[in-house]
Amino acid sequence: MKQTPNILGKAGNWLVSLVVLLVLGGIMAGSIYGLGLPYRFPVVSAGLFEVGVFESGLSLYQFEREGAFYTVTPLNDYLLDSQGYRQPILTWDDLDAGGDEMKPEENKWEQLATVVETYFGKNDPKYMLEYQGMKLEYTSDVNGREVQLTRRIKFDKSRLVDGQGMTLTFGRRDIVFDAESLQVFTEIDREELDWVHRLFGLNLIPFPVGQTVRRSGVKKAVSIINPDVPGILTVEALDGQDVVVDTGYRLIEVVDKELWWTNELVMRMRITSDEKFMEREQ
Amino acid sequence: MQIITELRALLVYFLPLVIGRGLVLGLKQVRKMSWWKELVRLREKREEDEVEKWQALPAYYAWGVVVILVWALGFRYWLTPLVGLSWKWGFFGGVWLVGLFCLGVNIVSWWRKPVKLEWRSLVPIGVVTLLASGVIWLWVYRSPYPLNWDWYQHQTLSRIIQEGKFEFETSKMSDTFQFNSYPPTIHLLHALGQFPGSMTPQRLIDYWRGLSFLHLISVGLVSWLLAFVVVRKPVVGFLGGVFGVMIFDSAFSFTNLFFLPQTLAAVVFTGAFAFLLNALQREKTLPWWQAWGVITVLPLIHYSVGTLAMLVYGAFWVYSKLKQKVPKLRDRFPFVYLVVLAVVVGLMVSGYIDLDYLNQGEAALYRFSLEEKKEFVENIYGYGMYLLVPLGVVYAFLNEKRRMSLGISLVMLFGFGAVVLADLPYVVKFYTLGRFWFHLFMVMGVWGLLQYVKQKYVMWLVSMGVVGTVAAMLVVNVVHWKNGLLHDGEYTHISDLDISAAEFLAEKYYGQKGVLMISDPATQFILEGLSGVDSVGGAYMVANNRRILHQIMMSSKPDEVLKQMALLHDGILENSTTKLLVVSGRTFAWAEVEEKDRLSLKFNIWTPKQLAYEDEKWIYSLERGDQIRLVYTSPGEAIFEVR
Repeated sequence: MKQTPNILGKAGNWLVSLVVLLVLGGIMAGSIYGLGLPYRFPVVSAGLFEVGVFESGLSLYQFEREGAFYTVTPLNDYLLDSQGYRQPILTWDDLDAGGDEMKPEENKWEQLATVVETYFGKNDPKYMLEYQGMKLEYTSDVNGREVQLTRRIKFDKSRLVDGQGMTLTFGRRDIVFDAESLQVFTEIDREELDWVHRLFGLNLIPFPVGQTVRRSGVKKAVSIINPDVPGILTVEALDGQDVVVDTGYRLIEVVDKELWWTNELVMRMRITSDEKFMEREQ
Repeated sequence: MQIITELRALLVYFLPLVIGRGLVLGLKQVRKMSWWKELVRLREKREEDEVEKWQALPAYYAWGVVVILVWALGFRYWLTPLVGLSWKWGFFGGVWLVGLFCLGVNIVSWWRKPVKLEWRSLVPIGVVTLLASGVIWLWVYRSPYPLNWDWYQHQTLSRIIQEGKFEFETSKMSDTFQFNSYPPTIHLLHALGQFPGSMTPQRLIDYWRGLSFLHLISVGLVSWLLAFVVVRKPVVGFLGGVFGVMIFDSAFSFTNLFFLPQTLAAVVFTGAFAFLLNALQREKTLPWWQAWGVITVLPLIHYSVGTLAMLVYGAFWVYSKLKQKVPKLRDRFPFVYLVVLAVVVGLMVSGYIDLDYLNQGEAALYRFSLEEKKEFVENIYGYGMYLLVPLGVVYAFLNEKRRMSLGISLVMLFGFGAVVLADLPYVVKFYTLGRFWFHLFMVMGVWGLLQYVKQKYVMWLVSMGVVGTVAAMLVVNVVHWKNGLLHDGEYTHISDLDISAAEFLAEKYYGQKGVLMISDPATQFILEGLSGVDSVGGAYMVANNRRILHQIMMSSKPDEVLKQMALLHDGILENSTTKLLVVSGRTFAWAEVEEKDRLSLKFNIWTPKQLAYEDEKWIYSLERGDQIRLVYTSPGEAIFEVR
């Protein structure tokens, strides 16, 4: 009889402790849950450029130096059908029609984890979409000044694909040239050529006067100089790929002409950000 | 060498403490004379309380700071004009001599009566230092340079003082200061820590980094002290220290991570107030010299924050004196309810007071709506403040044992809450004082629940869970704050290229008369702080000079540049013989923004920028013979000497 109150008392103390633990745990969880998130995240550095997620895709840009955006987006990317025609992966109409439901969003806890992981270098930006049975994912893997962008498309059923293109936009004033031969694809005058030589030590080769090229031949690496932001971006072809410059749409296309019967397509693009032009092996 | 430079930051705390204590102890020797007896009433009784042992510390520090300031003012406005003594050598020599003498007094005093450090004092110091080390590690992770943006202007003043050009009004020393927000008190302390010899930019960075760490420890210690004094539970003191060190008030007060005049004032005030509270609890009063030291020094560290702190501290000291004479004073005046009423009335009235015109209209940029303040709170605390502070208030109202200290704490909470919430400009700065009380109530909210846990190890386990939560909140808050500062893999305001440019400027132009530098506000602010070369207003460049700079950037014609440079006006240096035009990637980015941002005191290009292709074309187009000479280039900056 004497022991019963002690046991009851102890049990009661433990119960109280448990309740306190649960309440405090809830308060602590609530405290963390209410934290504000950065305006844009994750954002990581690739050399002088930042890589971030935007409405239509992943972009390389420079913070506080607006106007220079180099974007990979499903709106410009394409698949090749059996007749060699390009089929866009997504259109603006699709994007508008799909609305917010297209983009799978992380819940608050996942977002908080992403913020922390990004700070410690464990998370890189990714862009995801789901539309009409298709799951689309652009991921980035940043390693110093090199960014490897990977696009994954998962269809609801297998299909025949004759090739695919992954694109990077460039600006109207950009100087775009073959990183090996130094052949320039965009319009450039004599004075500009002299400045490039003086500032970068490059002897760029323009097209003869009066000639222009809409789509360049197949290249292995293409570099971009933006007059308004420092640094040079270079897009390199990986094995089995070609790089094409389309000056009309202002796109650098990485093209893979391999034939696929599949429900999942993967393509990669490698971009390097340098302060100065880096020579490449021919 | 780095550690030695960082240790020099200790002098900001150590020197005034040594001087203050030395002078007080020295006066003690004359207390035997009867007419000094009332002047110096040192501890007659033996300390019973571990807290009481440290009670005089704020007063020693305060009197040390006051003596240093008075010495500086005396030389500047009396001795130097009267007898022509060099202010520089009179001030620095005098303070160091007095300091050495006082150090001798301290050493003798410690030798005769050693101070015993009990574990009750050592544990908080050890734990806070450990926590502070973790916080600093997180803070400097991928941030190799100090992120306290204001340090550049404080360093500018400190260097000017070291040159011997001391004035009481900061605006008369540098036109970076358009408004005298504080006297140059802490700048005297910096100058004492750095004199003689000019520190290189890298050494300055080491110094300020060391100072940040010491400041963080001081914030943690006073937070621990306050919480322990109010509730008298070790675990509450511990949690108070945790909250003090690990919560970064990242909206304009920046108390724990930025050493600023107002944050130093907040530390002095909070520590002193905790001791006052401790004395009140023990039915004692502080000797008048301890109280008056604190009351005197606070507004001399920062005018607005220090004055509010002084008034609050002074009011409670008077209350403590009256309470001794009228024991039932507290019961006759329901202060808590009066303050609640004052809060409501104050908040209603504040919306009708227009102070946006202050500081040339800059005040309007620093008036925030309730919605904005709510966002600040959630960035820092998540929902923690909403959940824990009410619990802490309930605990305070229900607790019968510590009615006086809790009652006073409630007054402080509601009082500072009202100030911060008021619809007036600059009030968020007062959160540097208020945060200690909000944290206290958050800790009491935790304790209000934790006190029911009977198993000690469970209590400490839960406390560790709270520490983990606060750490997680700190990480997200820090990342959020740093997010806009990403540059080439680092979160930073400056780059190695900025430091190289500063080193060039320091080596070639610092110390020369008549040299004036202009660049975009951020670049010149940074370079002036690092190199010592005078700029036209730093980050607070006046609108006219901003327009001139923009005209220069929009024209690559040397004649236009020469014409515009001749129109530049510096608030301090009237006739400059050599003008330096510094163009950085920031400058070109600044020149491209909208005019309202270019002219705004709040807008800056915060991160380093390298020069782009078009920028370099502009640079190489500009050089012209001896009139515009390119004297420095790097991928980040180009410097022209314009004659």
